[in-house]
Amino acid sequence: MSTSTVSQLSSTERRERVRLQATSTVARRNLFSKLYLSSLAIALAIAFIPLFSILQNVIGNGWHYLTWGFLTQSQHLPDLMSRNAIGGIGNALTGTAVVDGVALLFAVPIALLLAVAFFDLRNKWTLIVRAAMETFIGLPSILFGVFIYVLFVANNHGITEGIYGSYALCFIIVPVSTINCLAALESVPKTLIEAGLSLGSRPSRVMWRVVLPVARPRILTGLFLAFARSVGETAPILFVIGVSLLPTYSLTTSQSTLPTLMYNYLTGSYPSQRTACWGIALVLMITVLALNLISRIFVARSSK
Amino acid sequence: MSQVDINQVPSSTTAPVMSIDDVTVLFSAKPAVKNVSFAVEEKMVTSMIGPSGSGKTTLLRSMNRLHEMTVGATLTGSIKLDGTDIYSSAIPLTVLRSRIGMVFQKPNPFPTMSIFDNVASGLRFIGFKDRAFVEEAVERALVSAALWDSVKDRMKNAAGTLSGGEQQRLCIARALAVEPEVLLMDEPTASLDPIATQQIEELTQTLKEVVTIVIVTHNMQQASRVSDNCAFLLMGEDRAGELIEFDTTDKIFNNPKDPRTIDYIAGRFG
Ligand SMILES: Nc1ncnc2c1ncn2[C@@H]1O[C@H](COP(=O)(O)OP(=O)(O)OP(=O)(O)O)[C@@H](O)[C@H]1O
Ligand SMILES: [Mg+2]
Repeated sequence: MSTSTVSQLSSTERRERVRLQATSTVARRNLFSKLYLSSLAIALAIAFIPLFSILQNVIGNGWHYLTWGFLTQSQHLPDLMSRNAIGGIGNALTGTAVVDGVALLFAVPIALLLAVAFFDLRNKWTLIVRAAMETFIGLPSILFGVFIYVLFVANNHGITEGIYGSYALCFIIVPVSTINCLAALESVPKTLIEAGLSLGSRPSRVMWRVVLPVARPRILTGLFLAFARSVGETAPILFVIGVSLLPTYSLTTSQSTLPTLMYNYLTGSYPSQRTACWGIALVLMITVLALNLISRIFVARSSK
Repeated sequence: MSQVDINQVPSSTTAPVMSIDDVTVLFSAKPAVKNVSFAVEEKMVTSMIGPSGSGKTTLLRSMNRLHEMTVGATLTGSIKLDGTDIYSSAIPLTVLRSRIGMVFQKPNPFPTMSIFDNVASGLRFIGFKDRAFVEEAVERALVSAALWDSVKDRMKNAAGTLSGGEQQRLCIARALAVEPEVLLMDEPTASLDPIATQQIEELTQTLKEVVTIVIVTHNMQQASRVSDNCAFLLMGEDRAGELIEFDTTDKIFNNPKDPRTIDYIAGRFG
């Protein structure tokens, strides 16, 4: 010991001191950990109460709308003769399926390619694009609606089409799922890639045969979560898809989706439409929950 | 298991610090090791040998309750430290772990801490404020781990700047700083070169004057060089690890009783 500092406590004495300290610290921390646990419980309650009351309201007020007719019929405008007629939300369900579905079809290949590019090519340019992409996630989504409106609707004599909604939703799905897919790729252990490469495999082949299969469950999860988010989006599509009263799978006509229908009903002038929003909210909630559940199944499968 | 029971305490008996009694560890109801009993003697090196999957790591981790980190892991039987069941509430978990330290297969210094802070971390975690005491403990631990001379002028450097062997000795110093009674080492030289390996082996010999060591190793020569007692584990038909033989290292290597031990030592399987 060149710079021996202090006392000549024996090893046993030092051990005694450390044990004493550990024991007294444990005793002191018991109180602390009780406080800690109770604050965790309080935090849980705070998180749970609003969640619970939303669920309670939506389910309580919405469940009696869950009929075959409500889900399939087209929308009815109430009139003086039948003030309470609202018909169904078949138009919004088909609209949601086709507008969001096509957006997903456009977005998935783009997101996957971007993710692989960011993963493989780490240079100035991909870093810039990646930073831009991450910024996109934080932008208010109505900006995308305005952008698509100016680009398409305004250039089309103000005519709205379902496909414009798909374009707008791509701005929501692509950034989120690119980042999710990239995280999935980065979770693949580097040693697997190196093992593949050192077998003499081309990098693209390693990506295709080793990295993507290992990352697949997480990629699917990421895509589903991004999709689930887009299903609930209102702002980017509100001005560009218009309103369709009849259920249709066409993308070249105006369309309604669940959130835009809800917006129209809430701002409409008929009380029966406003209460029907509970029904739409419940359907929307079930849809998004189901998508989240599916994405969780992928994760659970993969961790087996 | 009758042949094991006779051998539970080897002939060179000193006081056992830890006694493992009929321990079975299950992962989600599937046994990984089964009905293991042996005694860890004070200030001796006890080695655990056996093929991959025979439950050495599992058993070692259950000796300071680290296996509880795995969801679904359960243990039956008892493990005692100085006569007290380590699974009873008589020893708080954090105190237990400061009494029974662990060194892992891959060196794992805390990457964001300096060399000094790494070694001091255990004492700080249990709330030590006394600077002089901590400084002295760090120096002593580094001296004990044979690392003091090469790091004393760069204590503020990040731990990641050390070589693999130095990092492992840093981890040993980190474990030693809280003055453990027992040090558990899981293949501590598996990722090291021969020189670093030899340094760690020599270290065990000086360390055993103050701390009892339990070491898992795949290296037969290492087990025979460093350990006083040796436990040999092997998978049974149900793939759960069993203790085949426990005795002084000398007997295990030169005069084993069980034919399976003879085969394993002779390199005929595993
Ligand atoms: N976290 C875990 N969850 C489920 N099973 C586990 C877990 N850890 C270990 N096992 C199982 O317990 C058995 C013993 O594993 P253990 O890691 O203890 O063996 P080992 O003797 O240390 O092997 P090696 O020499 O390869 O390190 C194995 O069958 C293993 O699959
Ligand atoms: Mg192991």
